[in-house]
Amino acid sequence: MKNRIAVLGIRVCLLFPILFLLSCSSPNKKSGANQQETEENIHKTDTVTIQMMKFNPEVLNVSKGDTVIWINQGMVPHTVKSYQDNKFYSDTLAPGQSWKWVIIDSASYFCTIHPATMKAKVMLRE
Amino acid sequence: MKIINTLTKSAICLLVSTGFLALPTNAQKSQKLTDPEIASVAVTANQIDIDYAKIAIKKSKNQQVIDFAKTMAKDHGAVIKQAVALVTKLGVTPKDNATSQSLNAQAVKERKALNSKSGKAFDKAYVDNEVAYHTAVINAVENVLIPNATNKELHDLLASAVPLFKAHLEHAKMLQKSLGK
Repeated sequence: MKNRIAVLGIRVCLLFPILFLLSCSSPNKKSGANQQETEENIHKTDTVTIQMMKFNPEVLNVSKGDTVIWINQGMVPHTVKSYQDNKFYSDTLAPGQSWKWVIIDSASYFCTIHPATMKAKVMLRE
Repeated sequence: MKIINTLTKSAICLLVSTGFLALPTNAQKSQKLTDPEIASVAVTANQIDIDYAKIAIKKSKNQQVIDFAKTMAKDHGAVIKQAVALVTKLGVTPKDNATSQSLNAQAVKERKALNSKSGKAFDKAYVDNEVAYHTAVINAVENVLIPNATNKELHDLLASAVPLFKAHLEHAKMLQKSLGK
């Protein structure tokens, strides 16, 4: 009798962690936190470097809701401003500074300090 | 080949007119500069454009011209800052030389000419000079300073400044067109 109780106790002890692990990894039952994480994972983050007086890449294809980070790796200050007013404007980025924006629409943009040459685009993927 | 010769001659004329090649004949022949001399020329060339910009900020009433001049002052100031930081790090003392002296002598004349003008005539003279000066500086940096630089960091700093000067040149040309309308 004692042996049966001991075996039963061991089985319960082994079963509990297994059930616990299965509940955590079940693909059909996601917690709220996991869902939020997945939604965030859908939106990527892309980088545009500002170097040698150019935005690199000059054309960046993104999905709606993606974040773009512009990093000024040049030797002088720059800005990031959409040609269409009120879409986005970074203000002045000193060398080493960065600025990010969530893209909801395609836009052509430029550097207001060096408007003749520094031009680029973010394009929404279809 | 004729086209290349013509272009070369035009570039040399431009360099001479802006002081970059207005050197004694023997200096023109050799065009050899040491790193301390290159550092001096680089700082001088940038400082000259800052001084032109200061005149424009003071005299011009055209907002586009003022904004351009402010950009020149800031950008060339940043180049000088980096050049000074580099020569300090390398323990190099910029050495005055015939090219720096020639640049300064030419700049004195140009500043006098700019100060004698006002209104639209000033704006035109300032912007025209910016186009000519940046064209000359780019040629000098690419064909004289960079090939002569022996220190890699000095060479790289000069090379990284070329796209900046080219952007300034295009900006000045854009302004030149706008003023001509």
